[in-house]
Amino acid sequence: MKRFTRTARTLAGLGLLATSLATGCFAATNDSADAAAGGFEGGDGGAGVAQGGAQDFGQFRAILDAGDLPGPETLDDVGFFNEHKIELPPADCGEDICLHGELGVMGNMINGSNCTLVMLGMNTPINPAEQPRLPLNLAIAVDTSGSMQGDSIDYLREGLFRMLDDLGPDDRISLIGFNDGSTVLVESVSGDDPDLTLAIGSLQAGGRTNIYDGLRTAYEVVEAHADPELQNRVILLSDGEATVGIQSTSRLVEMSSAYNSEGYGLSTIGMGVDFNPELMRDLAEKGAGSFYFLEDPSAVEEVFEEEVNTFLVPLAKDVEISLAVDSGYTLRAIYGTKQAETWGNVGQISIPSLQIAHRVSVEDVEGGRRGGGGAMIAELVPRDPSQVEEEGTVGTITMSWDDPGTDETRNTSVKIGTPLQPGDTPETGHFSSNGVEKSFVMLNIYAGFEMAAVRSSYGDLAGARGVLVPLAEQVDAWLVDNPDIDIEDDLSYIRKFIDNLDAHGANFEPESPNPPNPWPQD
Amino acid sequence: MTSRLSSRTHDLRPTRALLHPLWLGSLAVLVLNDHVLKGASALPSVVTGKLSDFVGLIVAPVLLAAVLRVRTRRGWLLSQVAVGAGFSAIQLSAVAAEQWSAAMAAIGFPWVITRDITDLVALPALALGYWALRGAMERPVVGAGRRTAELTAAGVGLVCCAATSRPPDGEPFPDDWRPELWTDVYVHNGGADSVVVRIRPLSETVDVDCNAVAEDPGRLLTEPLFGELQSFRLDPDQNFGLRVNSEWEEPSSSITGCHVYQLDVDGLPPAVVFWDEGSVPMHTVPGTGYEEGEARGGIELMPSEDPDRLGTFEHLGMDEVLHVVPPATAPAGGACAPQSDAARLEWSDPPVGTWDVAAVERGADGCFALDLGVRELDGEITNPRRWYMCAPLSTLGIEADRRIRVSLLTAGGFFDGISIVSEDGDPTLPQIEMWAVRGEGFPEFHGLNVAAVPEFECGHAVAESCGTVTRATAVTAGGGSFGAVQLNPGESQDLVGDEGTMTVVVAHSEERSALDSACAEGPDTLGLDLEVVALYTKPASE
Repeated sequence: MKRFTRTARTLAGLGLLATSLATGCFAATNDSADAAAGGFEGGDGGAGVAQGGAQDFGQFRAILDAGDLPGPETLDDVGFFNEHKIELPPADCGEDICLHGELGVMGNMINGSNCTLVMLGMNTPINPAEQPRLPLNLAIAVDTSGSMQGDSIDYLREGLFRMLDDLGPDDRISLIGFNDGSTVLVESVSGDDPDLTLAIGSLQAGGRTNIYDGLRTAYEVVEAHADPELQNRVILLSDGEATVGIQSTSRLVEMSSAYNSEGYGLSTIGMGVDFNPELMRDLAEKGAGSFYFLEDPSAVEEVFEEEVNTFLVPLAKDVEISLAVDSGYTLRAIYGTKQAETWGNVGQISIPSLQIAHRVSVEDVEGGRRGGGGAMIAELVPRDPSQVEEEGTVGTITMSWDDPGTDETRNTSVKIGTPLQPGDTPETGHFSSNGVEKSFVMLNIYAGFEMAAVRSSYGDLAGARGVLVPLAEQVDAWLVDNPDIDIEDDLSYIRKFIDNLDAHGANFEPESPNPPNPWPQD
Repeated sequence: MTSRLSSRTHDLRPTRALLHPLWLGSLAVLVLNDHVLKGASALPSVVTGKLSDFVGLIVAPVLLAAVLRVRTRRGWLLSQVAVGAGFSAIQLSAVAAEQWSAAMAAIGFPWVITRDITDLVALPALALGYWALRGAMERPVVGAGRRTAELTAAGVGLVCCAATSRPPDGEPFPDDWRPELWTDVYVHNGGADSVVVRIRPLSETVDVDCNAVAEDPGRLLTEPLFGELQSFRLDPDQNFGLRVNSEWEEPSSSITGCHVYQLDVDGLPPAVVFWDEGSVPMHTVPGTGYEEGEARGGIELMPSEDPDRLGTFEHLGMDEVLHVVPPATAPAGGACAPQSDAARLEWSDPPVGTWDVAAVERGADGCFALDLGVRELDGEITNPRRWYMCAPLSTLGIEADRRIRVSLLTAGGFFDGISIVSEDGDPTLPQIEMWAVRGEGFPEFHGLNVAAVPEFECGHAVAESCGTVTRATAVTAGGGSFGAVQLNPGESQDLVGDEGTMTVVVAHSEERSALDSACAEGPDTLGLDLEVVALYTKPASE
């Protein structure tokens, strides 16, 4: 507990709160053992539920693995959180999606005042392996430009062949290759058509990268074969920036969004380290789809076999989550989603689509860390207890969504209870589940990574190192009492980041200008 | 004649110039200046500094030529060039200064060099030395006594050149002694502890309208506009020049009229330092402590002793150069907000030439896909190609089976554009001509003119992604028989003229006052960023 307290104090001293997250919630005490005894320990939480957008921070990891310094554009909170499995109470609410609002109250280590977190988590009792999915009308736009030569085109073929195993005769598949222009290689053939196999096998790399033409052609092909009984979707695979044709990022996103609004979803997969992660992420977020990064052969298996199976199984559409906070608190911010807006004490999160996250436990990392499902975190600031409207309540979360199979609208709601008054800060803290504390550590690590990436991007390597070194020490200390595979892996990447910074010259203290010297200038 | 010239060119002896009054006098001034005057504070440092440069450029080439045993006029000239090049490199490049300093330290004579580009004013001294001392080098050889004197002078000269100065009054400098600064705006650490000061100049690809952003530099000049950071540890009471200092090389910049730096100091709020060119004069600032008399251009850093509170900045002198970055506020909305880039005019590689149109399809994003080719006699389309044209029009007026000519429109960087003209030669079809133009203006087109005027009441807004500073504009289009109308970006108007109809759409229009050309879309220059498409339709003949 004390070790973690020191962690939070140091992080606060680093200015993480003021400059990165503007929150005081970076301090925690640890009574997780008590919380676990409350019924959540080792419970079968079911599979997590993932939003669209980034599903990993693979490009960030790959750059660190290669000994380089990742830029802030390669890191995304949604993708980072999705590589963390947060244990939730069992998914026994009787619906396909169970909503959980978990409370964490701890001492703010800047000035000792109270810090209150609400973790919004979702899980499902559905086993993705047993879940039938709607047949697909799927167009796959494949980058075949010259930069794909070598590993990238090999990964791509392997991934598509793996995907074939999960396609059936009811699926209608089109394959579009693009380089200087686009070519429809096969159009709306069944998932087991040998022509599809042959077309994948014949993919060759050469030429420039015309993403606009490839993606628009894919949308046009899906549109030409659109069927309300099918899932009408596009997958874009690319390893680079647009180098020919219409190259404006905003134009590409605008085009894709326009087709998304007509009902055609999009998922994106990036390869190599030269592609435009912001473009691929934006496209997927707008397209109610997911963005993945293929860093190595193991990721091909993880993404195409495990994740593609799940992201093609939408669990809910047009999800609206509303968090209404009691007047005893102020809602300050919501992290872990790009879709949140806040007005006063109400937070509104609109998510186009939810998918099943394939990991069912923290230890389920055989194929990698993707598919954790992550969580969303709301930070509250306690106010005068006399303003509390409903005793013992922090707030209420309501959620509505459309069932993709029936289009029926479903609703659920949970009340976030508390034994505390606003501002009460038990010495050992209060956590309604283990997951709140892990999500707190996860948020700290994300903030540290982001701050270090921003600083190193403009040459402040020593400043970046100054963020990460104490973070590594204190995460290490936290892990002593709270072993966790995801956080241990995060720690290894914090250390790699530090090593890479040192290799680039970060471990030199800034020098004093005009140093005292007995030899004056000319 | 040939043999005389040859004899003269081979007779040069640089050591003979070591006893020339000019060289000896220069050496005496160098010694006196470096070892007496500089420490005595009898003359301003700018005078003593320049004096050393002038006489040093007379002394050093002779020593170099002597050491290298130069024997020709060409060699003598090259010695001058080498000294001049080395001196210039030290003044112009921090890297060169650092390497020279390191090289001298390696032989036991460490130099601390204050780079000052104005020191280059001493370069003409090379020419003086070249002409005045060449004659002495060509004199015949004399006795052994003179030879000894020359060697002695060479030895003294080498030592004096290497060890440029000594502490004033022969006393060691105190540990916290720092050389004076010749600078304009500087920071002063007013706290009790050392602080790390991080300074970022604007990126090399950024251009700024100084008058416009002077309105509110802390709010308008945001993080994306700034470039590589340098960090320094500033000890208590120490001063450090922001723009002119011994540590960094000011990046090349196209900005004229002002200087801008982002300042990030541990324990202090982020700030932008902005001042008009020349508003703070170059002046001498002590290496530590406060200026005597009226201070100019000083920013005192006052860290807070309370770790939970941020420190403050104080101006030293009356120059208001520091602007604390205000807390983030909601971005400007409505008509004054920076415009999205998503509606800009865009086209793929233009297929310049005449083409038959096989198909035209308007995509969900409003971009037209034109399938073009050459129609053969049998009706088959050969040489097919697809061309994308994004313009906010409901129709291009071009249909399948028509023939068009595609041309580029350019005007020396003022604008670029594309023209599509129907070329069927069939009077029973309407004649179509479309201009899509982007840049700083719109050329007259069938009598149509377009003018964009800043919306002065809007003020300046900042676009989040690239930090572009924009101001909304009001656009007026018309002329001649078309009349005149006002348009907002995205709006379309049909103007009916005497001979045809003109459809005008403003895709984008704003004025820009700060811009990173490596990041922002649109023209690479400040000023108007206007994108207009005009479609002229002349009805078919009866």
